Amino acid sequence: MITIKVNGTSHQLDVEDDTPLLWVLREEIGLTGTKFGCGIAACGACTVHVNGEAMRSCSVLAGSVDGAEITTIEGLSPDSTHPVQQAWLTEQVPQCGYCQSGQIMATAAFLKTNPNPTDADIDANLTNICRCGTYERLRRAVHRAAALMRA
Amino acid sequence: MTNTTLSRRTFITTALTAAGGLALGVGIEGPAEAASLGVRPWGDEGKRYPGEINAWVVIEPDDTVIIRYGRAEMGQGSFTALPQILAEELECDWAFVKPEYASANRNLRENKVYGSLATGGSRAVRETGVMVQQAGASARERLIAAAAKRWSVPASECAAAMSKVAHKPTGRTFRFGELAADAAAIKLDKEPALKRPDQYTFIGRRLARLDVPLKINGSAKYGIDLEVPGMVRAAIIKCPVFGGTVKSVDEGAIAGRRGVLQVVKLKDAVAVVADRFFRAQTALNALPIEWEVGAAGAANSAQFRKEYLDALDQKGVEARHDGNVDAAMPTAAKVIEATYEVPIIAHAPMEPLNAIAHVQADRVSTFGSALRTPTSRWRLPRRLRA
Repeated sequence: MITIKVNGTSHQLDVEDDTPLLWVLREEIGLTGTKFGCGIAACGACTVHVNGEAMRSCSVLAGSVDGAEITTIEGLSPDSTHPVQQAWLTEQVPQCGYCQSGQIMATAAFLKTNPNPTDADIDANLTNICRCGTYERLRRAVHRAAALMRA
Repeated sequence: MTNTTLSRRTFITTALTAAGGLALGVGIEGPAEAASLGVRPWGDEGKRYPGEINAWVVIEPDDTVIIRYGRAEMGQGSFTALPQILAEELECDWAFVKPEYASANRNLRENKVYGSLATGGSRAVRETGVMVQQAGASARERLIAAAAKRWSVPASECAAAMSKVAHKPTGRTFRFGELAADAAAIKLDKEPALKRPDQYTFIGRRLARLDVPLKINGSAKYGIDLEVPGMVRAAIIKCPVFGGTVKSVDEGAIAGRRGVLQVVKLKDAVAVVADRFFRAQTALNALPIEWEVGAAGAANSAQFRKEYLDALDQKGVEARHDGNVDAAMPTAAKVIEATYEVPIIAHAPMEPLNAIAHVQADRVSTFGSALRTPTSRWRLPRRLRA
């Protein structure tokens, strides 16, 4: 039995300790905005915030997050107004969109630690994969989000 | 807007948006409720809209314009482009437009009213652009005819713009939403001519894509996100060698694991069914399986490479013959030689392949992330019968 707070709501869950957080979110709580991509922390589609830090939830075990506060894409803002979401909308970043929940969550956490990143910082720190190849717009949107957050 | 605000039942019946992705439903027959999503999934075949002017256009009393979309949106933008083309002729206010996926079942029943429902090759606009443009023009003329009839004036004195029909001499107007039910009943003597490209005022504008808002907050639904009542999950492994078969499975090795419901042995694959995907996958990983690899068991990459190279030395089929390469090459100013090799690799979308079969008393509804609904639709039922 673990207790986690997801997007502000507490959940007590009877899951095996080795269940990946990803599946707890998707199948136990029903939050499907967080995506299953590779299952080995390589693609980043499953990125969520665990106590404010971006983590790839497919490789975070339920037993290790007992008591943690988790934010998923559904909880980043109530109305898509987080600066990263606004920047994504303005730059029309998503194509198929499957990776974008993870991209947005990774970016939101990254900009808290680096509010004014260079292109090189972005390339080095935001390593989520986009198979559509939206990287150019992604990068523009990260800069735009950073500017919004500094303003 | 997010699914956390939807009841479970609403979630289930509306989860098939596919706004973002490849989710295309097949064989859905049940009615669905209107969703609070900005982009509604199709699935409303049980429901007839009074304001359905033709198979492509529904105008609701509040002026909402539902435009059906007969392809899969994968980020290429035709979910926005095709409604834009239709709206050029319909003369509706773009702010009222909500695209919705066309029904595969209806397409079958109504003699391909939506075209092929297959996506690929940059064909969406090329193949259905004129079709939806005509649907928009036809809907507009019927709205105008409906207004003219109510005013008892000639249709030629009326014009449509921004989701309203106006009677030009008097300035009276009706909203499209007030006319749609009447328009749906009107038969036109002949289909209106389409605008010429030099008359376009809306086609060609750079619009914000209609699927993007759903893809920045987790509300876009992909095939893998759908849940049907009583759903269980299966993880599957195929024989790693093409043409190979299952030799033996030691089911006892996973007996008593939490949530595991059944081991399914197919000719060339094994699946474990469980109440949760991760339980199914970990049980499958722990399941000892012996494969009969068959004739292709010794095939390997080195052998493939040799076969391909050997084939290059044989005479091929001449598809085209221009000039004389053999004669020109020795006198060429510069000769560039290179060898290109690519491995055999699988097409790998980020969304893992997945499908759902919802078995009910009188039907099986299937859902999958597919580009070619018609193909999938016909293949699946045959396989399910087997």
